[in-house]
Amino acid sequence: MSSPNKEIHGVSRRRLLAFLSAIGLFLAAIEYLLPKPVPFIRLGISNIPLVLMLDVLRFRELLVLAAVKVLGQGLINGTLVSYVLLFSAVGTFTALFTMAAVRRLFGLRLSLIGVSLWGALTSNLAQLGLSVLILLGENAWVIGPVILGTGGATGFLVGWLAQMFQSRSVWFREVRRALVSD
Amino acid sequence: MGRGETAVLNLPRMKGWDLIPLLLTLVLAGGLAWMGVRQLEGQPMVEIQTPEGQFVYPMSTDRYFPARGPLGTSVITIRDGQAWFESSPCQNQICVQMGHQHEPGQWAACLPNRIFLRITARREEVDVISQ
Repeated sequence: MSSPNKEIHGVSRRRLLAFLSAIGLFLAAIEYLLPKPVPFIRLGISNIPLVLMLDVLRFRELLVLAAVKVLGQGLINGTLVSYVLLFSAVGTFTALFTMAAVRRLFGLRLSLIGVSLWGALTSNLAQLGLSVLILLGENAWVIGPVILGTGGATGFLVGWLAQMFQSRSVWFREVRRALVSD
Repeated sequence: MGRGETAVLNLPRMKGWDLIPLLLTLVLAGGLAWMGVRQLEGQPMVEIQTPEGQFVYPMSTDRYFPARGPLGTSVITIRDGQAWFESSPCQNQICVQMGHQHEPGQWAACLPNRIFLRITARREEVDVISQ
């Protein structure tokens, strides 16, 4: 097994993880600036590094990336010490486990758009279920159509952007070649 | 780009298997919407869910409702057949910006303060219900 500090194209795995985490936080900050017309709804662009690196990073590295995203987003949004953090964590980790599972199950028959759509769907269902249990009771199902509908649209957008970056970025191609053969 | 070459815009495309999560999303969202629409016949009512319980008021009677949540008191106004968040102690104020709700099926929520307002309908005449 290679050391996390081993350099790949001048970048160690650990530094790459830090770089991707920083990109995720930057995107979370951009997302924070955008107006939210309805509660619960997010654009989800801070998930792009997670979707993009699904086939490249090891699963435990993806878990670290997801954890940094949840904590950093909480810090940026001012929700670090509130129940919102629980929702964010449940949504993010449900999406990550689902995306990793469908990637293993379907392989390349699924594009990153499909992978991201699966992540968005299960993340939203988990958050809706959590809302029923601890927040709004049965009323939570009322907001289901809006959450699932907009979640599907943003999931599509995130997958589309990740797929576009994956197919065009020379940097990504180099990093993938180095890390996957590592 | 040389003469005679055309730019090909190589945009990402969906694969066949990508349609499964897309269709599942549409079916689930449509199913939940259909279940909600089924319950919207009768006298319009305002249902207010708070950490202290659920309160149901007719839309026909004007009133202010102080809904207490973990952050403080969110004030809900019911007037002229409409209901809305007048004020709320939350940071983002999305609930206030959601504006006036009047049609059965419409809703507004203050998630940080755990208050949910929903316009619904009941077949029986109701003055006030609290649960």
